Amino acid sequence: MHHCQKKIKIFLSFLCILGLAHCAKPNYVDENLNFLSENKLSSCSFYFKVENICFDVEWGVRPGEAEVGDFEIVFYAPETLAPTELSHDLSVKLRMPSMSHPSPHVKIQKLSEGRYHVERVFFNMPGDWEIQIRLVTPNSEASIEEVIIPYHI
Amino acid sequence: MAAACCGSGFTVPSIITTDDKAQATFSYQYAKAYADVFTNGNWQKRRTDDITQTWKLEAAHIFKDRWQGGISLPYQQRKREMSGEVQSQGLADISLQMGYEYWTDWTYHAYRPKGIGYLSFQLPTGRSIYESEDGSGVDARGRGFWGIGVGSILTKNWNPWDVSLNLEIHHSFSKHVHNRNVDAKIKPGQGAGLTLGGGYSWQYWRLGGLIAWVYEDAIGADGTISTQGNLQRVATGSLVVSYLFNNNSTAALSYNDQTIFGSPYNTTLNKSILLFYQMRWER
Repeated sequence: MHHCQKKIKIFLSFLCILGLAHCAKPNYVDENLNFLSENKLSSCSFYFKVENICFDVEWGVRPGEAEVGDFEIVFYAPETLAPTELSHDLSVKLRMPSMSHPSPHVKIQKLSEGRYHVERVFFNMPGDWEIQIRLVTPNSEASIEEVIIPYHI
Repeated sequence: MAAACCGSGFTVPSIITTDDKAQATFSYQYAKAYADVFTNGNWQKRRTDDITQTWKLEAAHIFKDRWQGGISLPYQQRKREMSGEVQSQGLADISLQMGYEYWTDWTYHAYRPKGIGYLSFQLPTGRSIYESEDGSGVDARGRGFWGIGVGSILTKNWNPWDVSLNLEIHHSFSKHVHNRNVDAKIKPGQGAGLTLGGGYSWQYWRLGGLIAWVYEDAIGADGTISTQGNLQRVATGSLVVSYLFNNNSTAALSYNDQTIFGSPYNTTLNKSILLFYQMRWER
């Protein structure tokens, strides 16, 4: 009887282990892969229809796991490529869709006509993030149109 | 065990599973974020240090013979490498438990285990990542939601072997977050945890192992951030060595690793060391 109980215990233990404790299968990202290069933005990559205006994003320091970054947004007319002023307010937000959480507020400073400097760009954990560049109504910050730029750190 | 970015206090409750009247446990955990798992299934090793130290005081007391109440008070310090080092410390999420021993083991039945059912309450005393103010996220020390859970622990000793099972489900309540980073209703949903453990004792020593699976529903947001989110899943494997000083106190050392078991998804994987000292008072 005692021998039989022992066999049952061992059998149940194996069932638990086989059924539930399968090993994790890591699929590590190649650490030499430069994700940042995927975010390289070509001329007139982005467009706000409501203003018929193109814009580029020019990175200063690219944000990383521990680095705070910055970039400039340059708005210009699609036809003449001349710098063009926005007629709406500009808003930039950072968010992580898989976790539904934001990163802290960036600081936006106007440099010249159609050129803005975005500082304090930091993503507070590794993963897939989105940079939301939005045209908003003054004060209420209601979104009029937005362009989302994916970013991975 | 911490899950995902900001911890989950539901998995291992402070419940008396022995025949004692009361117990108090002090533990210290040193955890390091080792990698992140994304929604496309890729794993990415951390290149910089992200360290969480947790000091936890847990206490539980029997009343009316088969009822018990318990509390878990965690204090946490987080450090992160970021053009220098940033750190934050303070209270993490407090949890309260109320348990009832629905299956006793008074007759030392050959197979039937001791069964304790419990209700668990999570208090949002640790700031959530949505309410983080310092910019780096290290001041997020909890999930930050009110929560309620129900679960059961089953234990059985076949000297010198012992096994245990803990199964729980929980619900975290939505809340509105309004600050300079976000103005949105955050909707966390349901979660569940399953822990299987076993051990072998000889003289005053015990060698044990356990695996804890944790699942959390996607956390959605509706407001200035509007996303559905993605579910989170992680399994923690632990190896525990403990020593029984006398009949009423135990010290233990455990190694915990979230990179070994299961199919982790949309989460940060930690490796940690836990030191533990427990005192018990007989009935």
